[in-house]
Amino acid sequence: MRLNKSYDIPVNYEKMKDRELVHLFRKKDDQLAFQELMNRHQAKIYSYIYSMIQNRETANDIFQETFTKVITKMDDTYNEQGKWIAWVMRIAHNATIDHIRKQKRFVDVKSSYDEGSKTDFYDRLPDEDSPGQQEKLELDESTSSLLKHIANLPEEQRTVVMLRHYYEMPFKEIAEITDVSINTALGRMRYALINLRKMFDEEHEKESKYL
Amino acid sequence: MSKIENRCIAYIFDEMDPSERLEFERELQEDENLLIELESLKRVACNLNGLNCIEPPEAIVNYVKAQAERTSENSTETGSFKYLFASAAVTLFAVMIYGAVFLQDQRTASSSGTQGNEPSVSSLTAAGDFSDTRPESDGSADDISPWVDHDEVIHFHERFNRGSVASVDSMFNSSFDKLTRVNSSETLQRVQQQIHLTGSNR
Repeated sequence: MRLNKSYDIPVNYEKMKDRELVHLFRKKDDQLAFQELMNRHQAKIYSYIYSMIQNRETANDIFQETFTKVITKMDDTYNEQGKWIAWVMRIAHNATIDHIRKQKRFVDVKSSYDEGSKTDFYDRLPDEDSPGQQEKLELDESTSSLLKHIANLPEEQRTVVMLRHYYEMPFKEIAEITDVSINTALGRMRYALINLRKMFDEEHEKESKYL
Repeated sequence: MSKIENRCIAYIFDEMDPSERLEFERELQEDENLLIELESLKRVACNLNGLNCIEPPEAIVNYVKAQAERTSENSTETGSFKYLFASAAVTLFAVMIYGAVFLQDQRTASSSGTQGNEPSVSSLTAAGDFSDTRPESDGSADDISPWVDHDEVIHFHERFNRGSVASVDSMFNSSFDKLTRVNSSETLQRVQQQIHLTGSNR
């Protein structure tokens, strides 16, 4: 059996479909099959999580949590009839949304408004989740700029944009993952594009001012 | 949210049937504003193509792969334990079944031994063709119904199980061995003269 030099994974694994690799991993504990699945999808899954959270440490934690669930729950909850990646994306999406909601809840409970400065507690804290403050990832300029704009989109619009962009996921599947109708998913994408257009225009205006 | 605006998105992201697509393109030719909006949104969507994938840190990837290995090792161990438990359970079950059958045999043997001590009338009926004429029985010990044939011979061979009936049959067959062949016609004539005929009341 010939080995691929980059991953030490047999070449025939690269030709296999996800379903076949999942079957090998589940039924025969084939670690190479799992590694091939990881190699195929890890960047997309991580990109989705990172684009939603925009914080490296948290994205790492959620990525790890996602795969812990994937490994431990594959035997119980994954039905081999469905797309494996859609199932993994649902786990990643749920973990990400859980984190975002926890953060929101935390802010709601603890915030205290200061009359003097007209700010609440969290206005005075540095925003750890904003791309400017965090430990920066080595990203190319266009990705970095786009991610900055995407971070400003409402969570539900961001979700649709990212699921579509990284997975070319049909709107029907996006609607299923996010528990909305297909019309709502299409509508969210439309609003996301309108919002992004506005942001791009503002950015262009700023750039032309400085020039 | 109007449907036509959603159809713009479906058109941009190529999620329309060919017929829907054709119909929508006709609408676009008639509605200039819709066409402008569509082109503008399409440009924004194209901008998103500049968003590249972000690789996860290698340490995290290695951790996940190691975790997958550990989990499958644990599941293999659990699987072998399961196999061990299953074989133990099957063995225990087999032993129990064997024990139950053995006990049953012992009981049957002891009860047939008790019956053997009782005077058996079956020898009286051995001459009769009881294997053909006995009434149907389910073979249970309580189901003993002696019956009398037209020669007023009492039959209760239900007391015997099939094995016992076979032994009675063999006794019956061997009883013929005790008979001696009559060779002289004189003796035969004398015997015929001594036959005493009897009849039944019926």
